[in-house]
Amino acid sequence: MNTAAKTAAGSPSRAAAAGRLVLRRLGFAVPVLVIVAFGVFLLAAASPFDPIHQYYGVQIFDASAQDVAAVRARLGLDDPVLVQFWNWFSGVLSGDLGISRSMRQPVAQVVAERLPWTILLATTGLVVAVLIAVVLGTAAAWRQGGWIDRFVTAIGYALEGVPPFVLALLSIAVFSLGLGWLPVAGLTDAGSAISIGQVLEHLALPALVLGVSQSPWLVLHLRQSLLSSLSEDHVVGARARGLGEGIVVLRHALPTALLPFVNLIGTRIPELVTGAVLVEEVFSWPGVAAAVVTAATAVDYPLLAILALVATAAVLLGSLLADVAAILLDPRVAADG
Amino acid sequence: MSETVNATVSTAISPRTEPLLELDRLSVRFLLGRRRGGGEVRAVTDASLALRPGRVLALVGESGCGKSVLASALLGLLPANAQVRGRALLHRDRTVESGGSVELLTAPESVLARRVRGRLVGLVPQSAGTHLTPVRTARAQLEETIRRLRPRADPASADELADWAGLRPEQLDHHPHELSGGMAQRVAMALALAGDPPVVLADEPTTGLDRPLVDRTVDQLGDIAGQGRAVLLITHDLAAARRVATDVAVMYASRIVEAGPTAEVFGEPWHPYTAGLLRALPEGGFEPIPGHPPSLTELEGLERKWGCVFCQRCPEMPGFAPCTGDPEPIDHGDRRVAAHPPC
Repeated sequence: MNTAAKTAAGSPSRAAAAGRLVLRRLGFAVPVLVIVAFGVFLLAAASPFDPIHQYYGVQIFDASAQDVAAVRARLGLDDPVLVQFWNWFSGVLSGDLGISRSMRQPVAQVVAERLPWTILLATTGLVVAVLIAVVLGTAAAWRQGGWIDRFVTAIGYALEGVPPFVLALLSIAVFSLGLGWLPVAGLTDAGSAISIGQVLEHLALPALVLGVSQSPWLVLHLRQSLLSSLSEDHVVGARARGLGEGIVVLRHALPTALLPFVNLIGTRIPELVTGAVLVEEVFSWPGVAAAVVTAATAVDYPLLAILALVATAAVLLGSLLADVAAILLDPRVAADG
Repeated sequence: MSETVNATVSTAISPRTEPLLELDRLSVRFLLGRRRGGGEVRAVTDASLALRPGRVLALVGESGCGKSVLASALLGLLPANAQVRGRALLHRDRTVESGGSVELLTAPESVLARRVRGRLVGLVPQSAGTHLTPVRTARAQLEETIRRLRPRADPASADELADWAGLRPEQLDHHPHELSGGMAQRVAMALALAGDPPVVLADEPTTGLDRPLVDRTVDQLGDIAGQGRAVLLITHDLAAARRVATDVAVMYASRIVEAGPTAEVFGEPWHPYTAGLLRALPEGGFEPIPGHPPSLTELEGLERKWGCVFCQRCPEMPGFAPCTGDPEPIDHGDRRVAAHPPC
């Protein structure tokens, strides 16, 4: 992107630049993921919980010391951390994610069964949050100081202080128990088969709660960003040319205000992951959240490490997507370097 | 070429043609702080001007004299803390809606947005590059403006307009940050004319351009006037003003201190400030006026103390004080000068 002629060639060269960025980031992601996985093993080793207690549960009181020792040896719990990590790591490289000790299932199966539901919930939640932000943020900035603005800003600041699980419980109380519009929890009604209608009905409330709980930062940021954009020269210029208010705001002020907003969405992905875990717990959503909690309390290294990797990958992917979007949206951004 | 255009214009259209835009004692104040005690900036004081078809009026003066605020006031683009007084009558002689005139200072935003800006009064802004939306190409913005202001226009007219402004069609496909200062200036010129306005305000259109580009830009303004438009050229570049303007108004510390036909005013300046500006030019002796224009927040106090705010810097009146009260505008034929009785 160093010569005008090259940029003037337009989108093909920018798409290629974005492609190079993706490859470079994927290269960086590998060491990050290895370090995160290793960190999980170190933390688990430092944990005061003994995995064998969780493995046996109350049955440990009936088991003989020899049996317990044999199981410890079989699970490799007596090996040094580095050896445990290496065994797990070489397994992962050969495609074997190991067996979850707490779920008593192969880790690959746990992830394959649960991750799609979490992705569905998190993606829907993010879309809801972004829609809320674009609509309310624009409306608030457009009529700064008007009643929409005051209402949106006040609710936004208030919601920033409300944890997602409080919001989740409140919404269950109102929409499920009070009004009876939506089911309380789960993926389907008890005993029903999985169908699109059932899932949508059960998805609505958790996705809405997740979206609303993540939206205040986005709404307030977009409002601020649009307000500063509205006083910039290029917006004054558009207004001076005689363009209507709608065009000035939507086609001149909003496109530049969206640039920092896209980056913000990328940086909010960790919050989204955390929020999704809490919301899943409250709504008994069959995603990875329950598995995270179980794996953590059971010191289930194989499952915990994979779930940490999934979360890390989500964060890396979120910031990568934000950067790619920035390249595609803003012709001034240089993709190299 | 433009000299011939100007020559024909100034002979063909007499200075006394009916004006398209008349300013009558236009004043702009900016209130600082929440309450009245917060002080105020006097940006424009009692400015009276007339823009006539076929003529270029240059509004000259050092930076910080309130020239650009005047243009923003006419388009209703001042910030919320601005207070505007006086009248600015725009006589609409060429619009579809029949007759009448618009008072720009009191017109509601909807009238300004739908009927005045771009359609009756075009603006060539200061620093053309930053007045374009950075994420869209020059073509997208020019075509959008043409489509909105003249819905029946031929879609190819963006290229024609750009060609007139001196741009090749492929240069329109650049994003604003890829345009040079001169190219951005031409895009701005094309955009200002997209709605075919009878009045064009050019606010420091030559800032940051080299001399050949300055000449080119002001010659274009001369051409625009030659098409029967009224042009206001706001500039601190006296050479550019002299090149193209048929009339000139000199602004100092928010007031217009002298106005008249360019040849007469620059040939025989009546106000010491005009004379000082001319002496500061290379061909006038290269002798700048000592000191700086006063801050626009201090004018009230200065006028109380000195009477005329220029006395402090006036070479002919060293330490002269005090001349009193508002300056008295003296009309003499086509010329006007602000005089303080003792000066």
